[in-house]
Amino acid sequence: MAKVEVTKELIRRVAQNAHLNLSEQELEKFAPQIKEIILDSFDRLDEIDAADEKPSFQPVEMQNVFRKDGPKKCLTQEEALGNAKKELKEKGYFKGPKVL
Amino acid sequence: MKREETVNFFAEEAKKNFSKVAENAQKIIAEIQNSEKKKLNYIETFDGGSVLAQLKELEKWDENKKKKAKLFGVPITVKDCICVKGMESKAGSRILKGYKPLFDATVIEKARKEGAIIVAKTTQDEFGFGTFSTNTEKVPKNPFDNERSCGGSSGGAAGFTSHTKNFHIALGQSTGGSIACPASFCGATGITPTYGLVSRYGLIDYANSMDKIGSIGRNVDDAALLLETIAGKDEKDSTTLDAGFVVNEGAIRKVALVTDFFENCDEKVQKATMAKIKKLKEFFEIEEVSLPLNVKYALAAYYIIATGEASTNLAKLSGLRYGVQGNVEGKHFDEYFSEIRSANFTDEAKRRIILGTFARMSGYRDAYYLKAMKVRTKLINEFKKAFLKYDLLLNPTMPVVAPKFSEIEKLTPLQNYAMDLCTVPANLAGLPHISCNAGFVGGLPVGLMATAPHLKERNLVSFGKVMEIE
Amino acid sequence: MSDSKKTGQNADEQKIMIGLEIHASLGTKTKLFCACTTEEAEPNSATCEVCLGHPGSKPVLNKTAVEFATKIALALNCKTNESFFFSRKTYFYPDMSKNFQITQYEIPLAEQGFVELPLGKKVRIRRVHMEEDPAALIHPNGMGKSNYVLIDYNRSGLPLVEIVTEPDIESPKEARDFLDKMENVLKYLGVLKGENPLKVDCNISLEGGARVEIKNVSGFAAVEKALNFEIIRQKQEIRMGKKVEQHTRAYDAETGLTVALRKKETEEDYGYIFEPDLVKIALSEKEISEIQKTMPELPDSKAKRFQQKYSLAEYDAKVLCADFELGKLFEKMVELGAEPKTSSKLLTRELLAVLNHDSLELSEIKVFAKDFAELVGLTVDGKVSDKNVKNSMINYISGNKESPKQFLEKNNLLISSSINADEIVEKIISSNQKAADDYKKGNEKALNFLAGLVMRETKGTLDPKKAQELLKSKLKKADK
Ligand SMILES: [Mg+2]
Ligand SMILES: [Zn+2]
Repeated sequence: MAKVEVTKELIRRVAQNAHLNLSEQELEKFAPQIKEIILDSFDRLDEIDAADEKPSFQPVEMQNVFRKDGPKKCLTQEEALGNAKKELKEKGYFKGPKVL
Repeated sequence: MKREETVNFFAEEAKKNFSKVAENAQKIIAEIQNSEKKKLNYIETFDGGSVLAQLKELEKWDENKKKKAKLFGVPITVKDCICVKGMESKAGSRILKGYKPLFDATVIEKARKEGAIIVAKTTQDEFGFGTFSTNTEKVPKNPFDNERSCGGSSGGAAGFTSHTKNFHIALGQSTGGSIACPASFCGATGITPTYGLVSRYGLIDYANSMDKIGSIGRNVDDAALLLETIAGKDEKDSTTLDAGFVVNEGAIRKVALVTDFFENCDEKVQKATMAKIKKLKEFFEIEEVSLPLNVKYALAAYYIIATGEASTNLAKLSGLRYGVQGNVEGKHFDEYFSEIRSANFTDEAKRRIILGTFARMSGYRDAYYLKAMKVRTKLINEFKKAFLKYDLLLNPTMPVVAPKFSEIEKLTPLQNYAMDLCTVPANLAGLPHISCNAGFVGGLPVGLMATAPHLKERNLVSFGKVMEIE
Repeated sequence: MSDSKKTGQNADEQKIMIGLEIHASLGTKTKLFCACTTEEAEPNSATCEVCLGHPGSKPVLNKTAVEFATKIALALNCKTNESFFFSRKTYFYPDMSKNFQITQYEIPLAEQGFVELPLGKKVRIRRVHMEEDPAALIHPNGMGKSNYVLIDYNRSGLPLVEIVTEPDIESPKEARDFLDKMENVLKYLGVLKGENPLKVDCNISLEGGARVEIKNVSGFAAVEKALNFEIIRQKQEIRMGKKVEQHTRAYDAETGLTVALRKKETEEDYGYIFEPDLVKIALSEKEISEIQKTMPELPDSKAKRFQQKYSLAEYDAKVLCADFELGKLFEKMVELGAEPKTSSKLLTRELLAVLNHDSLELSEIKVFAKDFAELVGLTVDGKVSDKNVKNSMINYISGNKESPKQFLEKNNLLISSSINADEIVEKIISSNQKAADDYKKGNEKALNFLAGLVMRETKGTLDPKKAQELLKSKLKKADK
């Protein structure tokens, strides 16, 4: 695989996707650090052929774990809202930022 | 090590005489509240009222209940990332300030049932992101030299365990070496179990496919005792194995030193390790083995998977419902979420979020995220092959002794990640491992790590016992 | 379509390709990954740390949800995958408790199915997968004007099955037919939740143009309208020489228009990863066949059975089975002793006509098989005229509590016996001898006149045809 070009633009785009605003200074600081990690470490995996391997999503293989469809006691509305600060709840609802 | 120094001994005495429980707890409280000791930054959150309430409750236990309790009256400290009901649990992060879980982690529930006293939350790198416990506001100081790091990310847990003179065991957590590393730097014993042996329910996630809750004690008996009480299948964690762990000695015949890891360690560490290995040869046959794939690729695969998973776990931390919250009115969600996140994550968290988001982004995920998952299979197989011949694999836990904070500052993030070289492979493969003290160099502890096949924790206990023979 | 094909301009000749994504809410007792109830509750009181996305909580998969989803997959003729798993689809939105959704990506529950439309066309199903519902958002002053949103996490984590079709659908009408058919199949399974369990996203493209997605259209009629509008809009763009670009639109039910959403809202990179808190699921063949055993008879095979067992016409059997409730009603009536063919006729002609007239669905009204069986009995015994069957039905459907029989009795509309009808006919003939004679001479109108008198006398309880037949036979007899 061709090496990725780790540019400031790429990092800004990735950060945006992750909802992080990076200041110009942060970008200056992170860009070379991230570039080094990707190029000198992550890209090492190019050397090893693993095309025929199954991915190990977990280190120990497990399967078929279920829960029975039986209801348990829920939190009360007060408990559910308990960690929200008072400005961020209203009439039993959580308040959140607008979408448009 | 004398039997009188073990927590097990203490718990048995405590059952006969409750004043021992109160006395030990009072000493620990005094230690935690001592203004000089507070500067060592081992404790993140302490609630004296809760400890007194737990003591009162324990005093009421009847003989029958006591009889079965493995941790009667034993103070337990809890790494900050493990949820304790009603007690601020923020995984060392500012963004979770004020989060009071509505439930106890399964390990806490289990420890309480065995009569443990939950005394305090210990400091750590934010979300476990670090090798030195420096990526957080409260940085714990090495008990052997306060200018140096405790290691990370369970730095507070190992630091306090090593520092306190009282009976106590610590709950730690490891994703890539976060129990072994600080245990090594602080001269304590840390056991990291097989992935899935201990429930992660109530653990604030770093990288779910590698996170393991484990124990740190002053000796192998203590660490094993705590592990025994928290192990086992949990309905609330789909990834727990149908297995438990009973402290029981395993049979170790052949052991091998992993040369690839050894060669990457600094000379002083190599010397101390070899000295200890020489002694160990009286007990086991010790050969050498090479894990060329692991030494070359484990770090890359680990950091891709770890940051990939972490970046999704941290998405939920956006200033709603719990933790740090701002003013939402009039704000678009993109703006609000970005503001909260940008202002409250440390640099290291931001770097890992960016790396992880990158590694799983379309166009890159095949080459990084998926590739790393496949490489992990190869790396696990390399271990499995070695375990056909050997019962345990040995290596220095850390390539260096605890570094000075001033030295750590100079490391680039990549150099920093490279410090995890010896601990990451076992963690990536979900293999149980123990770090025991192997001696001292210039007054600083050196740790020796042993890795066993999946679910062979008992081999680690046997090994630890041998390590403790003077 | 075929008309416009012959007459239209370039833009009209373009082939239309429609693909649908349907989210179906499952009727399990608890949520997909936690044991919270799925029943209605005060805001944020059917929640726990899992569905609130609290740090430290972990999901555990609901087994019944997997069984329900498997039934859906099998009913849609899909192949279930030997093993499948869940993934995290990460995107930020205020209705997302974790800012990622646990869904299925690489290997879904099932793939490659189809739904056969009434005229035999097959619409291919690309995949069927499970996922969790996000929380519900309330915009206190409407979506555009609100300064903030209110969030109710009761919905967060409810089990959904997403059904994705191939772009095989060629017209808005066909989309609706598909949805009707599919809904019916799912209703047969009895795995859906509540009143409106299906939500639809539409993908539509005109040959050569890019795919446009229309999000979250509620109601099948709205789907048809939204698609119709979108076709006109896209054709217009093509006529004006514009290129249709790939984007997402929202349907505004009030205006019947679709509006483009901002680019940013449609350009997410979900960065899928395997959900590491769950494990792989591998259902054995035995487990799948166990699930299959518990599946009810589906509409197509039920229609075949009706045809054979009750000697119904193919068309009637299909109509009966095209509505789950209707088929059920039919069989209950037959169980209660009602004659099958008459029952089928009563339901497929009379009942459906009344329902269609009032734009009602059978599921919206309360009817009892016993009442209809009674009515069928009266019909078979010749005790009620077609007209009064209809009248009693209208009265019944309109919400009156009386059964059809009660209605007929109360209004004296039952033909008490055939002797009575004979007497009335004879009485009418003897008191209208002239008309009787006219008929005998060949004046057909005279028969109608006499029949009218008979009908008036019997208050319409006698079937007009029957009245004519009786008259004819009596007048012939008189001749001899
Ligand atoms: Mg979906
Ligand atoms: Zn819940």
